[in-house]
Amino acid sequence: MERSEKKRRYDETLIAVVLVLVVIGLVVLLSTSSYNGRVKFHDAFYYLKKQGFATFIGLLGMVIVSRVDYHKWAVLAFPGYLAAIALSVAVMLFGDEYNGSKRWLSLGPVSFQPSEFAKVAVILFLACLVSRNARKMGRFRTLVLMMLPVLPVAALVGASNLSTALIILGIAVVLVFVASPRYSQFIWMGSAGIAFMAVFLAMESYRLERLAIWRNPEEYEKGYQTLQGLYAIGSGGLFGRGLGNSVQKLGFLPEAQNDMIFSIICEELGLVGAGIIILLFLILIWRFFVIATRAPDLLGALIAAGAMAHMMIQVILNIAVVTNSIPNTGITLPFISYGGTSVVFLLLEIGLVLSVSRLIE
Amino acid sequence: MTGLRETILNNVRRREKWNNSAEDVISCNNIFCRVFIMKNKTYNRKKILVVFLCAALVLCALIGRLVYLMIFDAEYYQELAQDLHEREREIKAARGEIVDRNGVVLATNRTVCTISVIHSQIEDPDLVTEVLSEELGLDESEVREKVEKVSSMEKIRTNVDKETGDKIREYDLPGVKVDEDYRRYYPYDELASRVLGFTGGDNQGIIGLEVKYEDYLKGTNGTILTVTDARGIELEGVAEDRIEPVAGETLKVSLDYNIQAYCQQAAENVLEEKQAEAVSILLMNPQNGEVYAMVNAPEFNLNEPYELNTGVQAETLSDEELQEQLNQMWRNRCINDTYEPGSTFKIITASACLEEGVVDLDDTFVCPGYRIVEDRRIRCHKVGGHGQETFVEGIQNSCNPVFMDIGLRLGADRFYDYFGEFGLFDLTGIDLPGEAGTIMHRREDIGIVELATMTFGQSFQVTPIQMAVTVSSLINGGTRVTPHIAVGMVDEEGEFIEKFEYETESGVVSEETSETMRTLLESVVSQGSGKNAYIEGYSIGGKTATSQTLPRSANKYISSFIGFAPADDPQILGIVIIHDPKGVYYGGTIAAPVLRDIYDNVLPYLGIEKTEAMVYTK
Repeated sequence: MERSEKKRRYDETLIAVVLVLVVIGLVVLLSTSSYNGRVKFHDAFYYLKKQGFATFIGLLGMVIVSRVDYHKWAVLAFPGYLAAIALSVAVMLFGDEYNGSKRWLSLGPVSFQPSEFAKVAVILFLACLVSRNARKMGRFRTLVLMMLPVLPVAALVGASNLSTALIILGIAVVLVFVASPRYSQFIWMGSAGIAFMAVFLAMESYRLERLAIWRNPEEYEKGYQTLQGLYAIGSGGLFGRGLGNSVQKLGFLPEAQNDMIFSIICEELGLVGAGIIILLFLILIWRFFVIATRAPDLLGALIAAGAMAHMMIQVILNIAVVTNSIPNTGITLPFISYGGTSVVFLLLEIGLVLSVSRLIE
Repeated sequence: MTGLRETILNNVRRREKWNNSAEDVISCNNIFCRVFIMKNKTYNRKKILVVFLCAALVLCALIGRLVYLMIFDAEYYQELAQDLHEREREIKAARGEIVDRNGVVLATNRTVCTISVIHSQIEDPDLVTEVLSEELGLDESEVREKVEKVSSMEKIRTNVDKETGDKIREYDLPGVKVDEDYRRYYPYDELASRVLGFTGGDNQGIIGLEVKYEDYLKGTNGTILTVTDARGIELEGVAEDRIEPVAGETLKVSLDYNIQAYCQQAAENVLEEKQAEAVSILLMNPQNGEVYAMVNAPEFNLNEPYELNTGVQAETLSDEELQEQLNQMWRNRCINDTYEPGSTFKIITASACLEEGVVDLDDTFVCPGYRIVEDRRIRCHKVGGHGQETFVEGIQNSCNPVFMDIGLRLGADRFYDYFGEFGLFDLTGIDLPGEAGTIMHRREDIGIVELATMTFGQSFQVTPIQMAVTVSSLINGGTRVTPHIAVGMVDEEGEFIEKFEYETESGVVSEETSETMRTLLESVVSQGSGKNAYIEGYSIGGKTATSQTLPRSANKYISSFIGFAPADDPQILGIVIIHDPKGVYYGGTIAAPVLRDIYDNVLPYLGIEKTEAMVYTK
């Protein structure tokens, strides 16, 4: 619009970090998945091919999205929100089951995970909604009103994928928090949230069992995955066994290319390698933060803040689970864990943030 | 971090100006358009900073957690992971050899193969089944069952000779594993079969020395530690840990290959000639208990210990019958079975009576061919009787009434005491498994009749080794030695690593009685019933025996002869026992010549020179 004649620069650091992460992700994925690929599909590159294809689509999408002013994408916020609900319903009705969870929609040869789309949709939708009501954000009523439209999405996604629902709620809370001028309300909300979690956990004994497994993974059969992750991490030492030399990925750690991939990074690249990866994520989050604070308007700030919230929640939860710092819950590590839908939408999200960064004066 | 703060603060300052002057809302017809102009206020940026700092803090905490796990806890998890990844594969230790007193190898090892299949690596189960069943001569369905069984590894056959193993290896079938291994091998097949013993499928001793000295012979198995994936498949290119096996030690035995082989030949000859059921020959050193030869003909082939030596095909028998017959075949009659010693036992009766002083050499007796004891008429072997004779003549004639008389003089109680003092109630302690004890009346059950029959070696049973050891102690000056086969463990050069010590007990009889016995028994051979054992130039002492086995009605006999040489300083004592000979069954006629023949060869072999024969008879 009127700012279009100003010089437009992408955030180069962000692009560089994302590209490095994507490349590291693919290398680590190949290392981690080649054994499983060979065993299950007689093709060591099975997972890499699928992930590589998704990454290509994602990068393409990222470039397109970043070239368009994010205000134009805002038009899609509400339809995107409706689509997220529709897809979540669809997956409940027609979804494919894999590993006991109904999370995938198949469209011909391409399978698609609506919950990944829902995260981006919620960020965009809520950013628009909140920035529209920014003046009233000080009021508690507005806070609740802002959160309300998120609940159906969270509930629908949560039916099959509790962890993603928690991420969506987390993103929403961060966005509302950022938009509100007050702090005290959030302390109350935080307390209420913890109380709710406590009741929620106590309601079902299997959730409490998770806590017990978390404390002593050795003593439970279900602690197997956690324990295998710890074996991998412990085996790494300072510099690791070297890229490709993990033993735990050879069937000991089931589905090593998924949620627990970080433990294989620890085993192969050691504390140094794992630290570098965490540092890369920290730089990524820092760039989101810089873009959010410099954004020309609240919408841009909230889009960047939402992406930041998304990235940090997912990275923190994933690493916390892998290191058995919190009870086990299935959360993937962005850009690195295997998952085509995830990488596509993550890159689209980066595209949005880049679009914001372009308008920074 | 300070640089970061600077950036943030500059940003905030720059924005504040702009924010305060700007209009918040610009009207627009689209509800979404309106938000475009909402400004990014200071507090928004502060809050974003709060969120970012929280994230940075938590990520730093997680790095801390990683440091803890990967540096301080690393050892614990590494150990657990290693346990999980490493598979142990055993490397069998070579079993120790058994060598004779001159170093001749009696038991050694041969390389054999174990064929197994690894289910997950098999690519063509049909081909594998076909090749293995053909090469190994196994039933195809049996092989197929193992090939198709879902297990990490299945043994198809052990103890496959190396040639077949190499042949199977050449097929290079995925999933088929040929492991080399050792198998016990006995170069002389049947030689001393029951003494040496054989080993089972896991190379463990089953009978004989092999089981007795298992701990020395078996060695310590080594291990290969390999890293495997979760399916148990070994990873290539990962260094393997290896703990080398320690081979078993070499057992040196007192047996002499040449003597043993000669005795075996002699036993087999008489076995065939007399169509006997079995022939046992035992040669030992009466001074120290070393066994030179222990033959139990017919022997069996140690390399095929599950094939009957009677020529009966195993297939014609039920499993139970086969096992029963195998157990019989594996018995060492010299040790595991008892027999009525018969007249050879007169050596012991005579010693006891001389020691007690109830008889003098020139006491005279009358033999009418029988003695009435209580209501029984107990016959002498000479139906017409020996008439009047001295004690010396009585022993030369092996006259039963003489021994009944002196036995009755001694009395049941004293006789029983001497039994104990001579060690007949104890095991000899020979280093072979399964030694049988003496079967004897209870002290209170010994009446006159029992006593009378016991004096000439009937109505109770002892083992041949017991007879040999007891007689040894009576003629060697009264020292009861522990008979033994194993001498010690030696290294590759034949030097002793460990010498075994065996107990001896002296003073069993007085030196005087012992000397008298040597004299008496020499006269038995030179002039009496044992004259068939006489060799010109050697002084040999001995005693014959012919005893009827139980039940008496079967008319089966055991002929035996115990002899020692040289009579004045016994260096070798032999016992020949012929079970159930056909035709002539007198010990003096058939058993004594066997020992004579053996001594004729063995005495020169042992370096015992011919001397002028002693003449004891006055």
